[in-house]
Amino acid sequence: MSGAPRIITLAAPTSIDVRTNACGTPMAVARRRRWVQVASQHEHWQIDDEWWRQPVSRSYHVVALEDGTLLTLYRDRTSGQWFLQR
Amino acid sequence: MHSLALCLWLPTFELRLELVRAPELDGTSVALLSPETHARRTLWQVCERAWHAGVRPGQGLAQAIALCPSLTLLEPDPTHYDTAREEVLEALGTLSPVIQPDEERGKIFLGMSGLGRLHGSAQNQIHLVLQRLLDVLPPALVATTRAGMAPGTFGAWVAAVRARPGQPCVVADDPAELARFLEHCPVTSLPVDPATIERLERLGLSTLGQVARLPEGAMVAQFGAQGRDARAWARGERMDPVRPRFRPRPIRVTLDLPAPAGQLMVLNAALRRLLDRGLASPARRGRSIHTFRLIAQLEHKGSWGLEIVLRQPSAHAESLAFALRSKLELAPPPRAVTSLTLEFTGFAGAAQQNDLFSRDERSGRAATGHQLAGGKVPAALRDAVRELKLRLGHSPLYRVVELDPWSRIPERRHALLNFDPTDA
Repeated sequence: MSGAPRIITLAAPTSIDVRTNACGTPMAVARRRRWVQVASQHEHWQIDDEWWRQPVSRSYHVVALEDGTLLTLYRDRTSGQWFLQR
Repeated sequence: MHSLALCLWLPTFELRLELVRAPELDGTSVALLSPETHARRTLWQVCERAWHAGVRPGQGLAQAIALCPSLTLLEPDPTHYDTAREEVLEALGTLSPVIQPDEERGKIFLGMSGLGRLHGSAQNQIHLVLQRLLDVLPPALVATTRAGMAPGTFGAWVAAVRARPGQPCVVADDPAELARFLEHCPVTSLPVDPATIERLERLGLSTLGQVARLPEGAMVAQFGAQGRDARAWARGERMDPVRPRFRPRPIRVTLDLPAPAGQLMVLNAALRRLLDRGLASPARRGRSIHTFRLIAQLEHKGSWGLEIVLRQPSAHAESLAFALRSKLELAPPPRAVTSLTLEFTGFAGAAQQNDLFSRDERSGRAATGHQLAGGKVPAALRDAVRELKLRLGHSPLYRVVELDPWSRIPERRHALLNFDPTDA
């Protein structure tokens, strides 16, 4: 029995808690039930796409945490929620 | 429980074996050349007569001959020495189940704990061991064997050095007795690097007793971890047990060359045939090769060998041949070769992962481009998936497929698609 082919999306975003400053820049990220401070901001860009069906509007940030982890985060501008891309 | 050890030491074992083969040289000045053929040849072992003339191991040939013009130089025959030692180990294995060969062929440790009830007193046990040696070695060689028995391999080695041929040295299986025995032994018997020995001597420490009396902190401060070990050995506190050797049955294939050959091209062709035969051996099936060695019988007597330890075990003839070729080019046999023997001595588990995408296979990925997606997959991969499906109920393999590689949204670019080549 084989069934239908299974497809797994790569680089699927997952929801994440982020503390921001007044400008909306990430300052701390929740990692394993504790807050880790953002040590530095590396990149920031914005995408607006697929306006013709379900609009996608994201504000991306590449940040380095205090523990050395490099994360790509985005804020969904339609819902206001934060996601971790990888 | 103490680990009672017996050390058998046959100094200049290899040279003595040569003298057994050529008894007419006994009583003359003889030296054995070092086995390294790619470097400048030096002396490896020298007989007592040559020693008195000033000839020493490690000397260059010109210097040695200048010191002793009548010196006879012998080419080493490592295969002969290895065979002789294997016979010794086999013979001793009938007396003690725990045997630890040393890097030096003439030094062997035997675990003797618990053998007293079987073979009697320590002297009796040593007598039995030497008797067993007579089954495989000529009496002249056994007569020069030194035997030392003590708790731990270090104590046994020092005892063997202190012993005289025919007069074994026995230290009772008691730490206090061992400490008393070691007290007056020289620091040169410590198994630490020569620089440490030299520093100990320069500090005025010539006996193990003097080292034993120093505080541990002082030894560690001066010599680090080696200092701690040296002190523990000197005090008789460290008694390393005899470690039994792990020796899987080797797979051996031999090829006699129709005519002596020295050209690398001919040797490489012969090696390829040997590898194919060795890998096809039923005893090898399901295992990959980790360590193997090549032994060559040379024209006009003598042998030559090299050992290869692979970083990653392999069962591919091409990988093994590549390693062999590389070493052969660096250090080729010194003379023409009459026969080649390939021995697989170390094994690891089956290296299936590498076989899955075999380049040799016609239906392999590399041979046919991107046919994995087209349905034609290597047979080894299909078999592996079939086996996994039997265990898990589904194929746990996926392949990466492009969805929209230029999309600005990362999760839209690629995906994993379940991969099951056995469905077709």
